[in-house]
Amino acid sequence: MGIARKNNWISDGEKISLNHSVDTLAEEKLIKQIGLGNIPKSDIDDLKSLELLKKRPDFIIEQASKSKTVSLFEQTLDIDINSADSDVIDVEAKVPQVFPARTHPLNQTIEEIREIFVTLGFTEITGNLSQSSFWNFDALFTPQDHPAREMQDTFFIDKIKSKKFATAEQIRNVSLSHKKNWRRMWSIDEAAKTVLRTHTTCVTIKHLADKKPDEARVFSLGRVFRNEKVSYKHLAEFNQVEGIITGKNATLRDLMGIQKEFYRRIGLNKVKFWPTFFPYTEPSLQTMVYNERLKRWVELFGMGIFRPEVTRPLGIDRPVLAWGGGIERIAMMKYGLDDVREFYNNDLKWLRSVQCR
Amino acid sequence: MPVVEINYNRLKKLIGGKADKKKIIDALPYLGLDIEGETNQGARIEYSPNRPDYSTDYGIAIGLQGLLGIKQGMVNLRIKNKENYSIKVDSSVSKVRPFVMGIIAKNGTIDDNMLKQLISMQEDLHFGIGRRRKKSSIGIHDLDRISFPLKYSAVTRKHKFIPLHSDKQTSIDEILANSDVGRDYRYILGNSPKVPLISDSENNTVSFPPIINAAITTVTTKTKNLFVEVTGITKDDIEDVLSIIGTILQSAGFELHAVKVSGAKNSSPLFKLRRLKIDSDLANKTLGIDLSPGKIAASLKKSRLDANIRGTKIECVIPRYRFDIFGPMDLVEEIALGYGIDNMEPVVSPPQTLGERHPESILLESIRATMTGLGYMEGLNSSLTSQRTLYENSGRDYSEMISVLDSKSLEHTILRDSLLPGLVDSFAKNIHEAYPQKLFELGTVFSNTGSISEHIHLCAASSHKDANFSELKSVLESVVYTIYGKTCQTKAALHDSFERGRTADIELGGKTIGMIGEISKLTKQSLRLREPIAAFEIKLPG
Repeated sequence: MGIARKNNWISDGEKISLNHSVDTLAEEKLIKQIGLGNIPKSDIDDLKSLELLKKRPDFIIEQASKSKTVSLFEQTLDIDINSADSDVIDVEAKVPQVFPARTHPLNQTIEEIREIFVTLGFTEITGNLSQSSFWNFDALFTPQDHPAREMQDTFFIDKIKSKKFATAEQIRNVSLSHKKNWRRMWSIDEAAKTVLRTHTTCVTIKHLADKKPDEARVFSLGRVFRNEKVSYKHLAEFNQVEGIITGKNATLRDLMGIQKEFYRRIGLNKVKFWPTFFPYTEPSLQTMVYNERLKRWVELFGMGIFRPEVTRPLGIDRPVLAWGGGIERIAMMKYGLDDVREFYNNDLKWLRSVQCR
Repeated sequence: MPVVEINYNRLKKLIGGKADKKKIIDALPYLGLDIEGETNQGARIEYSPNRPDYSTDYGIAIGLQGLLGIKQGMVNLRIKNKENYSIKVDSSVSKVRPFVMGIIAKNGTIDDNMLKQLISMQEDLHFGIGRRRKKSSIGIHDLDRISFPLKYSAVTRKHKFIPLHSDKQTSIDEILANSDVGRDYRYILGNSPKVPLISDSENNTVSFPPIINAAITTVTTKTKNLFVEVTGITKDDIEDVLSIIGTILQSAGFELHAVKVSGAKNSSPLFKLRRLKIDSDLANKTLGIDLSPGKIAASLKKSRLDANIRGTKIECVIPRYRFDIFGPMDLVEEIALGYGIDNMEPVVSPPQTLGERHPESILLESIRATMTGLGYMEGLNSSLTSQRTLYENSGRDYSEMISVLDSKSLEHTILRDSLLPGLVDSFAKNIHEAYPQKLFELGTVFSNTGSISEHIHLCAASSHKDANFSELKSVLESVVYTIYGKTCQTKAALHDSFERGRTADIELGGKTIGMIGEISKLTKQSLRLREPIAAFEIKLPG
């Protein structure tokens, strides 16, 4: 009442009534200006009233907001929209991402290697992943008490023995060669133990023993197994390729030559050969290849000429050049990987983005 | 592969001549020795198990001398036979460990490095050609603590002596039960009530082969004279080992003396040289070179063998410790090494044969193209996988599973009988990647039919919020038609991997070739999969 009296809004007496022609309050004007919506603060001139209203509860909501605006370029203003192509789209706008479906990078490497072998005159042969110890070891002159034949290196299949794995003549001759050269007993039970093949050589030697070709180039490619702790360097199961050349004039220099040609075709030009040891080849060599990325020599394929103790019992009388090794190692160089396990992780992020080579 | 540690300064001295470090490093690989890693003043060298003579730096020095042209020809064992050292063998050992041989090495000096080499050699020989001491085991003793003649006989397990690294009398039983070596190697003795023992003329125990020496004969850097014994199952095996040790000790500056062995079919080692003839033609034709008999003989000498020219043939003399040489082809390799692998130029001759792919590879490559065309990414999984992946995640029946023995990895114990579990596992690893996700795999699966049968399967799976049976059936029909040229049918069935009522057998010409369906809730839960998966798996022809 004090305020009303002071402002001369009411006539004081026994009864109270409003004076006519009362001025509208400044705050009221502001309330009207704001209305039911919201207005930019910059539109308000009477900042004094705004401050007064803000001090009262439940009158003013002040909100900050950010905004983006669009505008036409100055040049664009000159274009006559009506005469331009009416199908114009924003060719620079972002689009949804799609991913390629593709064959596995490792299989692409395998396919490349297969292609090289075929063009070098090699015919592909295949064989089972599970094999008798006879073809995996005995036929390759690995003695029956050799450390490689212990469970810590090789996967032996539980309970299931191999049956009818070789001809009686093959078994007799191989066993004689073992008894003579290794000076100990030879057991057919040991030869019948089923293993996951430790190399593809069991496939190539059986092919040679069964077909006895005079001149041949064959190759075999596929999974092999080693009972190893899995790490960035080693897998328990990986791919191997192996090539065989037989013919009456086959020499160690030919074997080195075919290696060099193979590496040249996969883009490896710095190659050297060092002697090494394999139980079933003599002489034996290993290839060292210079890895440009790691800046050092790395070991790649092994090679050699099958020992007479391997070939003679199986009736093979020509020299047999054999060479081969792991494929993952080559694929790792190709795709710049440091961890061999990545090939088997099926990581879509990698598979969808891996570069074409 | 076994490893030996070398020190370049020490090796330089052993080789003699003008060998420097660089020459040594360059030459090592051409002996078949790989430098596995660098150490402070040397390197760790990997050698092949067929060359146990490289188990010490003395052996490596013999090889390097040849290759570097410092010394050539064979190392002759010079063994004196004047003094009366002998071992009498009692027939009681025949059933448990029948053979023993020995050698005496006198007037040498043993420093720390020499002792290290000796111990490392002993361990390598035990592990490699000794087949974890079973075929042969070695005891090296201080000769001056032993009074000859010795006796090799079997004693009861109650027998007591003070074993190496101990100071109290211990029984055989206690050694086998309580010591590390006892537990590691007692398997060799089996259940035999009596065990082998070497004792001297004063009835002191010298050695309990193949387990442990007596403490009294311990070799230290003060030891001047050595007695080495080797026991084992065959005379050839133990003479192999003794020939290496003799050669090494002679190279280390010791004077060798013979030990006579007799009784119970035993005999003294003869270290006989072998003579083997090789035709120069075989060497030249195998290697693809053209060397005169003189050059071939020179190459053999560089490989530390002896060689005499007999017309076009060369007679090679092989020392006893080169028992890795079986026949002429082994000499061809020695010739190649002596001549130098680096001196042989690779040749590329045009093939006389036409190459071709295996029909199976052609088919698989074609299916890969079809599947990628249908929008499926190729995945790869191990065929040797785990029980968890194959069976536990889906609750599949595992009564016919094929397992391997003693795998070093729990993830690789069972051969897969289906590709689907591995592929479904892959979706679980990719839940953070954008959907839709579509994968296929081509690979070998195994089944137990008394023997092991192997077949190649194709599996395809799609995962996204609307993935369902019909989507995959469309893909299936399309791909089966491109493979078989026929249309397949789906017949309602039950499969553990798939949800009941949303799975079927795939039939083609009346035969079931696979299965199709939506992945079961159980599998989705156990793998924490969020999106539905529909999949099929079929057997390929052949």
